[in-house]
Amino acid sequence: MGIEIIVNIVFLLFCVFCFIHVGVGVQPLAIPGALSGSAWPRTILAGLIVAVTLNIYLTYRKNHAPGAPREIPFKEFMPPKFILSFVLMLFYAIGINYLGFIVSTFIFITAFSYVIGLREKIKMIFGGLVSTGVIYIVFQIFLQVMLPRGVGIFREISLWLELLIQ
Amino acid sequence: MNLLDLLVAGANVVFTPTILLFICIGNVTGVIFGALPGISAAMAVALMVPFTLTLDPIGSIAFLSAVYCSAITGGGIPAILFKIPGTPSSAVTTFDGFPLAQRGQAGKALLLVLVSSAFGGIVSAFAMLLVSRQLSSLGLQFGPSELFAIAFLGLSVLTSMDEDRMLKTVISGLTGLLLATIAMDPLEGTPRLTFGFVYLLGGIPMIPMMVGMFAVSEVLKQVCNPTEFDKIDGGYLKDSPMRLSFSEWWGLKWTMIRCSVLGTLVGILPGAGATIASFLGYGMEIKLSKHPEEFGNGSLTGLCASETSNNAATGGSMVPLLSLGIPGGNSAAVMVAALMLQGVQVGPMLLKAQPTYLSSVFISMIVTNVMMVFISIAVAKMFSKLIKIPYYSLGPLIILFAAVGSYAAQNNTGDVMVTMLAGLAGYFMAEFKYSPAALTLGLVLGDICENNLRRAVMIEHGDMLNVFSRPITATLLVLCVIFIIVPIIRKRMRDKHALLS
Amino acid sequence: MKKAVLLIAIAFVYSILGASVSFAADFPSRKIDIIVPFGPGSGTDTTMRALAPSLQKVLGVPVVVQNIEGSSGLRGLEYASKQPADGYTLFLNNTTHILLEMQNLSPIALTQSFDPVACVVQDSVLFTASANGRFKTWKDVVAYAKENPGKVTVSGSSPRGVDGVSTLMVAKGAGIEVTFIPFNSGAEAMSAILGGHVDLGNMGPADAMEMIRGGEMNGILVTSEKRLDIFPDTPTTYDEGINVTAGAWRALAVPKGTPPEVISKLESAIREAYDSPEFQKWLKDVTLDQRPGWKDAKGLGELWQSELIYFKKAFEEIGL
Repeated sequence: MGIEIIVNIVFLLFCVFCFIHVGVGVQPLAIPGALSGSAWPRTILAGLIVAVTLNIYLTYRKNHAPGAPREIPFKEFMPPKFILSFVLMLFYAIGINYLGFIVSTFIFITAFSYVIGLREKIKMIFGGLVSTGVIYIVFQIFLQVMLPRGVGIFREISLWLELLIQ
Repeated sequence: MNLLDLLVAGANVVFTPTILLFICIGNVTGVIFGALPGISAAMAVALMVPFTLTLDPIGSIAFLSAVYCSAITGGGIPAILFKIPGTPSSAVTTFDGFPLAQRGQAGKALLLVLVSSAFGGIVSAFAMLLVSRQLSSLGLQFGPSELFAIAFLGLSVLTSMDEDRMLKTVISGLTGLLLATIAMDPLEGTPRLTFGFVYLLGGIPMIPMMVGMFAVSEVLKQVCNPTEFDKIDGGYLKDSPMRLSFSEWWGLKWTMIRCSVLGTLVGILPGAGATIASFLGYGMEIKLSKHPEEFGNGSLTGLCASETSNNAATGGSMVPLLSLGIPGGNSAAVMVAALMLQGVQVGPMLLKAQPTYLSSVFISMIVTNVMMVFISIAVAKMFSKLIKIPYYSLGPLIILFAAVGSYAAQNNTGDVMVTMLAGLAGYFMAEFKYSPAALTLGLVLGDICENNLRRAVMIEHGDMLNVFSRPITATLLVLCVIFIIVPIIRKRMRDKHALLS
Repeated sequence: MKKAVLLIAIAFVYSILGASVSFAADFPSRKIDIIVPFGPGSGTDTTMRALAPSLQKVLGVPVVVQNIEGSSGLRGLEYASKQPADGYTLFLNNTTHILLEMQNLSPIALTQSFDPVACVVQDSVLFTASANGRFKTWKDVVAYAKENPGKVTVSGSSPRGVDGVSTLMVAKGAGIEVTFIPFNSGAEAMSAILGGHVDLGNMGPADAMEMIRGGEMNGILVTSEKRLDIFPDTPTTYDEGINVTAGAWRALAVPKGTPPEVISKLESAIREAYDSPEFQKWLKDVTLDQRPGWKDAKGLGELWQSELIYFKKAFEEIGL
């Protein structure tokens, strides 16, 4: 079965789950006839359940009709480069909390450039430094946005840097 | 004070060396801040507030409105060049701007965006000056049920966005609406669909979702299937002349006029600002267009609609601010705070005591709308140099900008995670042809739609029929039904025609 | 060569650590952050931005306001509680956080994770009606509501926030039933009142002042013991026989475990900034502090406890 259909089915199950979950613990209505907190979401979910089911059916029919486009195998759809890039992005989103902006951004840029194809070490590190520096200057100094400081020693480093700029 | 005296007084305020200098600086910083993704127009204004403490109140507002107008315009620059909306109000600009840039017509797109923005801004400035009082009374007529009808009208565009894949578009739109419900229920005060995550109590933030679904997903796509960027002339703007033919301009005249009016009206409504205006303007133009299939693929009309409406909303949101003291949008709310810091209270007495506020803001907006066209061209040229960077450096940089931009909106690192996840989702959706634009539409309009409907029902004490029979509401809802059904019928007839031939 | 690099690295780390260890005697020696858990332009934010310059003058170090908004004020709460308890992070809290604590929406509770420093302003609640509306005085409202329970609509911002709770408490005290309609922002609520879509509004006197002065709205009831100087004609809840006071307060706190000397230094500095002529004049201009709200650290701690008890009781009474 195609990836699209699988995703649709998972989504359908999620919608059904939400439909049930939303109705749990709903307060009794203060005003008769007023829309409770679950009325609107349930309408949306009902529409989604109908639409997704229809979509699964139509997609299945289209994929199995003669002259249907070839199904893309999973490996080609998500090459290892892609998975690696995405995992890197997740690490960045989580790491920024602990390592602070400067350290995690540098690591991210350097690693991501490598994954996409850059191989010259000097360019990688230089790119990482310049990107981190430019963004830091633009956002922390220019726009006075408090970039994440991280914890522990990373926090101290960030604070020390902010002290320098004061 | 008659109009002429008013204008002279306003000119006296604005055309002093100090204020002119501030307006220049405001323009430059506004365009740049607007062009930085994740920095919304309201944030740009907020960041400039500390600089107003040296000015008198009237000068401060003239300055801040300059920042506001130019920020809304600046948002269109990265939208065209990188598919990253610089401000949420330019999300719709990415739909048609980026395809145009990919075809090597970035210069054309940019010129159109800037001129449309200036047009919208100037028209709304005139409206603000001349018919403020009438407009604010009109705005007050729009209560919860009317606001629901407008939002629903915006949603009715779903069936027209991609007529060949209506079902998939509707699914995306409904998903967007679903995502909008995940938050603390504002009318009950209880969490809804948050599954225990404290982060979700605030709802799914709009900017990270947009930036993620458009910009980050584009980078992910490039990782899998790199486009040969060197084949498209590096130097997007150099080889793309900033010129449109006269017939192209002439063909857009009605769009610009219609969208300016729409944008101004939407800007007046508190709770609906430049972002909603751009979506509604786009929706209106799709419905009225003879070639709806062009929208989303580099339609000049779509681009024009988006940018005219969002700039027209700037003048619109100043109307209730100055005449009643009620801010018509987030940026206007920041201006209220700026005045508050100076000890000035906004309210109906503001204009009665000092009518110069109106004319100085008017003149400042006119000056800004002209100035920002030139400043934006310069900023855009700067940005376009970035395209020359090879993709293995540019890609990570785009993601970095996207991440930091999303973070900066709320100082919340959870937003960065949302951006990344939205990027993945956006990639899948684009691959399987589920319109991410439709999801954004649902996300942006879902809140307004649902909450206002529920409020309207509460006010009518549960009587839904009363809600729908109010004059403005009823008219708008009938339009909605027509808008939803007509494309479905049209498609059916087309399919039948195709079968017969 | 390697040894030299190691020595330099150690010296580097040491100097950073040394610079950041804050002794109470040297407090403050670097910039202080005030975390505001709401967006720029909100009333709480503006109050802090008005106080910050005076505080900066008193303490001699930069005082910067950071907005960490989201999740109705929880996000700022959680962020601030994770900061080291060295006095360089101040957290702005208001009634909302007590209410959030009561509803157990987050594992971090205000009174458990923070030490009080000072309460800065205390607001009261004003009920307003449009000048063109159908109610001109509170007595009209009560009369109508007794005949038509639930038909009177009151606008506000959150059903479980100060406005929702105070509306229900006042209604209960008057023996009537009203319907509370929450809006997303004060601007929308105000428009709804002026447009005639709702009957009454629940807001702070500061927000309503200009509208009343301009003749667009009338204040019909204020929740405090004495009449407000700016609205001498508006009856208080006590005048009308309803013994309810309500109103938002705004206070500063630090993460739990901050050394007491640091807290008392902060407390006296804030007091000085509060008393400064610039801040007092600003407060008067925007009429934010009608029930003079200054409380020192001990007073704030007591306020937290009394508010917790008050709202627990209120929730039970109105059935939330």
